[in-house]
Amino acid sequence: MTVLVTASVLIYGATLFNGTFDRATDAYDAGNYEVAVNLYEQLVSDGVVHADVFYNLGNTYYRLDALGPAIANYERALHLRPGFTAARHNLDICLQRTRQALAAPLPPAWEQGLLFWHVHLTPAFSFRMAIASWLLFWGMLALRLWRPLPYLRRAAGVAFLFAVFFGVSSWTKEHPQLLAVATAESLPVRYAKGQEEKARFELFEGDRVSIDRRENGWARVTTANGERGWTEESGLALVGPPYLRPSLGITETAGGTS
Amino acid sequence: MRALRSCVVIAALTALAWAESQVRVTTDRAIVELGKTFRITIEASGTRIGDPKIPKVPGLEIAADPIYRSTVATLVDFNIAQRKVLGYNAVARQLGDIEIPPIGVSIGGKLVYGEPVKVTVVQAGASRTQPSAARSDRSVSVDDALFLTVDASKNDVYQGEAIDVTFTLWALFGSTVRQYESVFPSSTGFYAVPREPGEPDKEDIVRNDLRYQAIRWRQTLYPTQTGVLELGPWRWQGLLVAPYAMEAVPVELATDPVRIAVAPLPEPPQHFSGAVGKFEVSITRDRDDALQGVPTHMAVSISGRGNPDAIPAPKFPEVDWAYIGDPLRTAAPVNRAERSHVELEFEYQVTPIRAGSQVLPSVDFCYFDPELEEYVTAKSEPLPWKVLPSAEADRQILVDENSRNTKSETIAQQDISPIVTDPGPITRRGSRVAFVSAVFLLPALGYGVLAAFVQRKRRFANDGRYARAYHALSRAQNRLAAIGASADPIDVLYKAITGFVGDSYNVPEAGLTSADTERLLRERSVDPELAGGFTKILRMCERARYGTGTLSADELHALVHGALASMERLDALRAKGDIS
Repeated sequence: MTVLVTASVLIYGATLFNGTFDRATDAYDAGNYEVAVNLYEQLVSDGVVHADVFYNLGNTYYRLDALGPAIANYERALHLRPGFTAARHNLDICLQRTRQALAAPLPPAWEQGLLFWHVHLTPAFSFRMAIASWLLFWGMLALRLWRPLPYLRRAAGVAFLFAVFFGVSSWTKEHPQLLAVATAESLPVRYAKGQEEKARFELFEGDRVSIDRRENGWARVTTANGERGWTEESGLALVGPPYLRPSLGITETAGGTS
Repeated sequence: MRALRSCVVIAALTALAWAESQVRVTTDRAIVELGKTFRITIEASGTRIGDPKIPKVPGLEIAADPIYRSTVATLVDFNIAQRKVLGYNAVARQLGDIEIPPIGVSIGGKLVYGEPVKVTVVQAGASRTQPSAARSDRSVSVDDALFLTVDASKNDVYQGEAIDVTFTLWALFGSTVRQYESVFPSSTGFYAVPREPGEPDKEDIVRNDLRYQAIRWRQTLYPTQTGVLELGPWRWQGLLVAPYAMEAVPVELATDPVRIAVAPLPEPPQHFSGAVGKFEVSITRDRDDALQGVPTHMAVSISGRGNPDAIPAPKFPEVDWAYIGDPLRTAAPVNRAERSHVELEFEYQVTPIRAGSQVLPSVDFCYFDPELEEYVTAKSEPLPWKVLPSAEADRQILVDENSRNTKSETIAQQDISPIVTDPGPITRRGSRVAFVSAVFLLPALGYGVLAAFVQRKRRFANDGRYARAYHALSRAQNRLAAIGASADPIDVLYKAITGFVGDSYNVPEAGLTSADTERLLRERSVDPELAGGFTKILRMCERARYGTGTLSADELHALVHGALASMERLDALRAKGDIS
């Protein structure tokens, strides 16, 4: 009975979300980009984490000439599906339209060194591999209780290592370095929090930065070359997670899900 | 306020100087007239200062007693430090050079000597005809003892040209000034750096044959207007205690205004920066190569002589291969002996947009050189830059490798890829915490249970003593359960009890008698009452089997119950470990 109820909820949910997705796609095709944005954002706020949704949202923001949110959503799509060629292509087009084509900040050094191999893996793949390796490790240990086959211990060790590496990979992909994209045309980055503080450097729309601290509407950002400073969060679109909607002044009620 | 600050600085420096013992001997002039009185001043600092021992100098009469003395004490590092100044009249009695040998003063119980002093003795009256002639005490007026001068490095300048101005307070050596107030002239029409003269420097200088302490304040002025500008009078007032006087006299001083003629600059070229002086331009950078899309830094240094606040950031020519931001930081002018020397650094962030070998064109900085009286354009060297393609650029396959440099144009002409219309089932993504926790913990728990089960099973298989003892009670219970169907229930009861005891202690069951059982249980320290119960039942069974007596059904039932209770009790005690 429980299985039936769960399956029903999943099927109904999938149907509902696919319906919203289709309506958003129709709105996009009809040129109603603001409606499409609201519908896609509705899916995201409902907890849908899907590379295609982020990709379509990126395209819609691009059509609205909102480079920052478009880049943020392409980055989201590429995070969920690194081999998403169309998203990569569209991201490059967006970056070429930015003022200084600032490179994205690199992950921390330890991640670059230890997890260089997982760049092209999807979070889902890493997660599944971690679980499979973990179960395999315990399965081999259990088998060894019954029948200590040759090399079983070493094979279990290898499975354990796989479980650790894919586990770390999965955790890292689930908790990535928080990226943000400048949405304001020009965004001063200051030496400290506060409007009265001196500007250290400037970000332009579409520039990608990492965030390591957030306090009272201010974020401490770092660029690809290590320049660091404080800027107002209202001028940034977070790549996430969490997948928050950037504030661009688009009326959110227009075309929402019914 | 500035006077108070100066006094505090002077007092602090003096206190530090007093911390060590020293003697300083000076004369109020280097050339003295024969038979005329001149002054020898002895300054001693330290603790517990005694009177100096005046040596006998051939050709020189030095008074035995000082004509003035002053002593000031202060606390330095919790020790009382003194500064004692004594003035002695002296008269030269022979012509020529006379050297006064080192004069010793007892300081802190030790005799400390000053440096020898040399005076030149000339005929009386000769000094008035010679530039270096000496003057008697009486010829030194208050005006000579304390006066002001203002010196400007130039009086004819161009607008914006640097003028170094020095304000000097001349105080006759050995004199002291107190409660003074200094009002520097207004710098209207000038841009002054610093806005007001800062901390002074001091130097001992002989001027007109008199030894002075010159206290100098310095300022650099840049005319902002044309025409004849006037640097107003410098006013000073305070109390003066001259070395030859015992009392302080009030003094008011003022300098004459300094007039400076300022000429306008010639018609400037279009790219004139506004700077006047002489400058050089150079560019430095973090590294010779850069990565496409990754900002790097370069700094433009402008050094030379001129007003630092009139130097704008140089403008770079437009380049299509990089974005050059506004200057990030500007360094403060360097404080050097040459006051109007300036070194400014403008730091720029450069973000290369296009890969390949690129060149940053030279930067022009046009200024007016007052010495050459013309506009000069300083240029930096063109800067070659190797821009490596970024990692992001490598990932996309939009154009072939040979045309990578034209990629940006290619992309800019393309439209974005279309949206996805068939994403497959879209579901909400729930929290994975419970699932991950279960997946992480359950296999470990299952393995633990399985391992315990396997270990137990192996023990039953390998440890017969343990297996017999573990199953002793259940075997006995099974035997007794079948007693009703047996033709010889007494034998069944007997064997059930001996079997239980044999299994419990891993001894052969066959041949166990009531006596054997009693001895075995006693050896294993079983409670005598419990052991007696087993023995009693066994003996009743033996009597029934081998004697004449028989057991009724009720008696047999009671014996079975008694045996079961005893076995369960013994099994429980063994399981608890109370007995072996």
